[in-house]
Formats: sequence, C-alpha cells, structure tokens
Amino acid sequence: MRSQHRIIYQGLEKGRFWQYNWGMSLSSTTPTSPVQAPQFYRIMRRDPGDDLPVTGTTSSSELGVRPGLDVDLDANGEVVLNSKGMSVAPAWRDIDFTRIPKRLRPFVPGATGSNSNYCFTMGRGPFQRDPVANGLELIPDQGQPPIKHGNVAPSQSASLAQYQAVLGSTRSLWKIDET
Amino acid sequence: MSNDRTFGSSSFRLVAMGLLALHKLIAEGKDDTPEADASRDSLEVPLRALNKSEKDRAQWLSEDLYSINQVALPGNLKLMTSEAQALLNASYEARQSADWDQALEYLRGCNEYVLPAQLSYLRGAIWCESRNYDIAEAFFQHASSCEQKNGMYRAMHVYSLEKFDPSAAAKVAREILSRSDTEPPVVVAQAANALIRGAKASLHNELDRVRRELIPILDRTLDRLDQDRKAESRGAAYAMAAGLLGFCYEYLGNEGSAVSSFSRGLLEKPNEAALLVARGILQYGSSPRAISDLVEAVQLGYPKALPYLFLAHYYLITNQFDNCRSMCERGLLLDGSNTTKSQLYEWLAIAQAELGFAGELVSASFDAAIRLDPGNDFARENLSLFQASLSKAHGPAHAEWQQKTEAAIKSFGLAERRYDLAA
Repeated sequence: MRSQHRIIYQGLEKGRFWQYNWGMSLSSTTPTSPVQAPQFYRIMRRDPGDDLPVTGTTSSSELGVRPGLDVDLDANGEVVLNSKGMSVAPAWRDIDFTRIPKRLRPFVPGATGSNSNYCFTMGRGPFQRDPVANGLELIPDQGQPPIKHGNVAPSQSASLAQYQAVLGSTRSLWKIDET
Repeated sequence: MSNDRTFGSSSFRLVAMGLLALHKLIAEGKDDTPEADASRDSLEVPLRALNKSEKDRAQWLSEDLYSINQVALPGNLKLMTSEAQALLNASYEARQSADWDQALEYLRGCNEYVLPAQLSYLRGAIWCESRNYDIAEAFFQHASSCEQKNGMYRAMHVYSLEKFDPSAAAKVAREILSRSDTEPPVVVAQAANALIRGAKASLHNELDRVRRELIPILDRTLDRLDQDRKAESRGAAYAMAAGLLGFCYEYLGNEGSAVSSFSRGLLEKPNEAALLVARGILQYGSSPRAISDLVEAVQLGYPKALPYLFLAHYYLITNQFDNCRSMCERGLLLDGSNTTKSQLYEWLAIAQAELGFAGELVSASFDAAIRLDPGNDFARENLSLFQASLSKAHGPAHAEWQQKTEAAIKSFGLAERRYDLAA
C-alpha cells in the first residue's frame, strides 16, 4: 500500500495524476492518501453502520461541502480555486466549542455540539499546505502561527460533483479520535 | 480587567445572542435539528472575530448557560466552606470594581456551594451591570423560576427584560399588575416602571390612560409598604413606587400631588438623589426647598447634568458667579443633552466674564455654547454684548446679560427629564 501511495503522490506532484483521476468513473474511485498527508480533524455525523462519517452537502457536520457557503462556483459550475473548501482543524479542541459534542464538556467547557456528531481525523503529517488525497489539498488559514483552521480544497479545476466525489472517496480514511 | 462599559465588541454581542438561542434549542431537545445547525453556522464568523478574552468569555458563558437548564437538586448543594465563602466575597469585590470576567470566574469556583437560584441571580447581576441585559434576563428568569416567591429575583427579571425587549416586558408587567395587591411591592413597582417605559412609543392619550391606571395601583403599593416595615427590598420598592407615582401626577399636570409623592418617597429614603432632583425641578422658582434639594442631589453624586444646570442658573441670577462657574464646569463633565450643555457653556462664559477671565477664554466658552446648540439665541446675543463691551473699560453690567427666567428653566428641565425618562 505504501509504495502504491508513493507512486500516486509522485504522479500527483508531476501534475499527471489529476486528469486521470477526475476523468475516472466515480464508483471506481478508490481512497488513496499520500504518505504523511497532513493530519486534521472535522466534527461529523457518524454512520452507525460502519462508524465512518456521513457524506452530504447540506450540513456543516457532513463529509462534503455546501455550495455557496463552503465553496464558490463559477458560471460553469466549476469550483472556484480561492482557498475555500471543507473546514478542518489541526486538533479537535481547536474547533469552535459550539460544534464540539456536548459529551466532551469536561474537556471543553461550554461545548454545544450535537452528541450525534463525532470528532473524526485523517492523515498523519503536520498541518501544512500539502496534498491530502486524490485531487485534494489542505490549505491552512493565513496568519500568525499556531494556525488553528484550514480548508480541504480541490487542488485544480473541478466540477462540484467531482470535488464532492473525491471528498467522499476519503470516507474510509477517517476515524474517530476524541482523545 | 474587563471594566469596559460595554463588556465586549459587537461580535461578542452577536455570539452572546447566538448562544442564548442555541441553548434555548438545546433545552427544548432540539440540538440535533437543522435549526440548531443553522444557529451554530451563524456563530462561526462572529466567533472568529473575537479576541482571546472575548472567546474565553463566550465559552464560559456557554458553560454557565447549562446551569439554567438543569433541574436544581438541593441535595447536591455542598456545605459552605471558608474557601468557598472567600471566593463568593472575591466575586462580589470583583463585581464592585467592574472586573466582570473575574467576578464570574470566582463564582464558578464556588458554584457547588451556592443555591442554584442564588447563583443565577448573582450571574444575572454581573451581566446586568455589564449591560448585557439579554444574558442577565436568562439568568434572572432562572432565579425567579427556582424561587417564585422571591420578589427581588422577579423584579430584576422584569427590569432586565425591559432593557432589551420593552414590549415583552410590558406584557409581563400587565400580568403582574393585574394581581398587584398580592404581588410583592418591589415587583409591582418594577412592573409599573416597565409598563410606563413600554408605553412610551404609544399615543399621548394611551400614555395618559396608562398613567391614570397606575396611580391607584402605586398608591396602594405605598400603603402596603407603610403597613409592612419588613417588606422585601422595602427601601428600593418605596423609592421607585413614590417616584413613579410622582411622575404620573406630574405628566398629568397635577404638580401638587407630584410633589407630595416625591416627598413621601423622601421621607422613607431621604438620600434618594433622583427623588430630590424630581422635587427640586418641580419646585424651582416657587420654593426655596428646590435649591436645597438640588444641592443635596449634587452632593450625593447624581450622575447627570440636569441639577447642575438648575444650580448654575440659580447662582447666575443671584450673582454668585464663582458658584455658577463651578456648577457649569462640573455639569459639563456629566451626561446631558447638547441643549443642556450649550446653556452650561453660555453661563460659564458669563460667569467667567463677571470674574474677569481673559476675553479669549470667555469667547471660547460662548463659541462652545453656540457650536453645541446653534439655536441658542441667548448665547449669540450675550456673545455680541460681550464683544461690544471689550472696547469699553468694563464688561457688561449684570443686568445687561440676556437671561432666562426661572419658569423657562423649569419648563426646559421638566421636558429634558421627560425625554430622559423616555429614552
């Protein structure tokens, strides 16, 4: 697996992998993550069937983006590459306390998030601008360190459907971590 | 220290309002709904605009708001310890010095030792003093729902509600006043205040109807307080009821009854500066007691410019120019309308001229008067008189200054106070 990731990552760096990946059928998209892809957290609803995040485009607690809110679209329906994307943080404690599930109040006073949501994480590398998975990259916010927020954005032109599909393809890479 | 009077930026206010709404949804079991999600989404941008201390304040506010949605279990209360008592005292002291974040933090340190109602009352008082009335209302409401017979808790609930939602407060006030003979007097007085303030936007006839309706209620409330020397918060209730009764009479043109009402309140609370000012204005020009009332109010630290205006005028027309200058200078440091301050500057200029101050200084005071109120014709005329006098050996003689009569100042003062009450 590791070598396969490396190949994909190298291809990605040369800018050749993207066209291939966007063009493939969505159903055949396989979850792939570059070695040492940055680690980040997002609070999402859990699918009780497999303990993985629920994908969707209507709520901020789903694996996906809400067009017009999380991303902007151009006249052709393509996602505008302007650093916007799916919101993530380097640690779950860095996420707004209004989204952190209430059960975690002993650790984060005032937490008001729904207990139906969980703190999911993926990746292992440092929270810096780097590829995340097929056609996705992490773009940390600008500003003085420590940066506590970033977006998982498409790394090159893509339609909304393609972007959502690639975000969805990372589903199996997420795991719950509330430690 | 967080002793800024607004206790937070506009973004903090947005966050506070959002948190109140979100906690309401949580209390109703709707925290997993699209409505709650939308509420969280709406908080995202204002939360990012907060500085570190505001963010901490918002987060701890959210934690404290959980306490008002929990069922109070008296059995869970711990016996007060000296350490907890020390924290309670420290919270009170921090509140006195307007260090509200610290006051709230100390309270958290002893929250297991304080009754839930009392804890919410103390939190409400801190948020109320920091002028976050919507947050205060949430805590006061919890306190009064825990102890429904506690008049002070209920009075503070009505007070804070009136501050940010006058029409809702007027509705609550009407319910309270419908059973005014059985409600604690302090609650009745506060309800009457809320009703008057809630009706301020109404038509003149409607306002008069409210005042007529309140007169017998407030009269009976004062009678009840006369009969019950141990009534809860008796002093505050008495002063408020007597003051409101006086205002109702005054607005309806019955000055004699208004003065009697203010005097009735002052018999019980001789140091109530607001009552002294009310009676002083009403009797200005017709009773020497007006001056002693206004002097006393000023000595008690009345925080607005109006009594200084009356005293400045009195000293001006009695040729006590040093006293006049002092009243003008002190009044100009306090809250007051531009019209009030324009007159204070005008009389300051006259006093300065009479006391032989430099011509530039006198002219500057006249200019300030005209700048603040371009319609102040007396200031223009007196400036012209002064400028004409500069070519003479002496300034204008006392009688040459254009001066308002006591009756005119009284009319102005009553209008100013009414405007202030309605604001």
